[in-house]
Amino acid sequence: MLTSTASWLDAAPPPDLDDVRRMQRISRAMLDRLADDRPLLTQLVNDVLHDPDRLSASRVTLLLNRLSLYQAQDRGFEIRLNMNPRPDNQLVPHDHCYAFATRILTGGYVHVVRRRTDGWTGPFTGADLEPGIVTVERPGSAYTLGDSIVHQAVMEPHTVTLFVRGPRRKKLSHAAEELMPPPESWPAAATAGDAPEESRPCTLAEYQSMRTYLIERDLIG
Amino acid sequence: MEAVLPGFVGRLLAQSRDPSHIPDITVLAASDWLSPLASRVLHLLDTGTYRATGSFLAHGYAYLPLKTPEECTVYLRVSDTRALTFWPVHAPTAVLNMAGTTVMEMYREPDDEQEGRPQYARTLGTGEFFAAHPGALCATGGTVSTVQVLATSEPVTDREGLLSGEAYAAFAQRGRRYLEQASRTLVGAPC
Repeated sequence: MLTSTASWLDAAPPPDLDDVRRMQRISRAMLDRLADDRPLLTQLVNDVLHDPDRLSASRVTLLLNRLSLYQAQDRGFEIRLNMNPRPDNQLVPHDHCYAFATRILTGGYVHVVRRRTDGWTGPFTGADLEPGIVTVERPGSAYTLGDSIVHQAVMEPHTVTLFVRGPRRKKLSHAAEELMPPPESWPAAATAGDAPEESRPCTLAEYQSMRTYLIERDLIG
Repeated sequence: MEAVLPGFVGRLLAQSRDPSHIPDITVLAASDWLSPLASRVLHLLDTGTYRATGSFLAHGYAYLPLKTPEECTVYLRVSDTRALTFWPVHAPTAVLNMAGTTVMEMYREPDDEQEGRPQYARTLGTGEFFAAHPGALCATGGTVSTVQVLATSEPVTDREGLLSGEAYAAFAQRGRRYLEQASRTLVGAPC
């Protein structure tokens, strides 16, 4: 079974995942090129269906839905396509277990990078945060965040972004508990009757829905 | 006197520390301000309402005061070096990139800044902007063509030196040249 398409991504340099400055430069070039390579983007989305690893890494989460487009385990990075932001769940400040870089394809968002006043590790609450840098991200803009940064991305509907993540750098990510969206707003369980989950693999129907959405938005052919 | 700054600048400067308080700025509003703002700033320069007095160097830029009706303090900021330069943020500040590119980084600790280990890195193109809040450890760097409008709720006080009349004229001329280009730009391009 064909699970991946040979492409220039196979020869892309690893985006120096320990150095945010270098990661920004390298990832930016890679994501810009991928954003302009519609045939490859289309092929990567189609390939997900035939690759169990990428299909299981494609998820619906309390913040948005995502497809795992490309996994370079030998070079330590994964490329995702994020979409379908849940409008009521965008406010929660959170960090990530990894450094990542992102580039906006459509839509956009107010992006608030927070400064922690209680140190830079472990759990935090909203009272431990101060605004640091605020931007409005729009199609074509890009940035890179390290794993200790807390941020909020308040997305507009129809926001679609490319996202490259590095390897896990800490055991747990964190979110301001008191600002967490209630379970009623989380994705419904894949199995009827089970409780909603913060994050779970997408179903085949959800994969098809994401693919159709991308075609309708003219992002893939 | 009509407002000079886009409406979203006031919302950026008024952001509180409450994590639920996010400035209400749409992508559309963030996309169509460049040309009108460049024209308004050029008008301020052309009509001589700017003040050579009070211009200074700081943080890798020449700061040229602009007299606007807004309650905040506004400068035209023209790059003086391409080097990434530490920028201590003492008051809420909005930086609107009118021309050229601006590299912006944020750090956890002062040592990280010294050793070039940012936790946040972004390059802003023409027509993009950011706000920085007190306590954020930032550095920015520009190109020879980088021109910004900077709006801050308090005047900048950590000045490295006043500009001579000749230096002021040179920076103002460079700023005017790139503002004229920006005034003809339909939509700014992200970098």
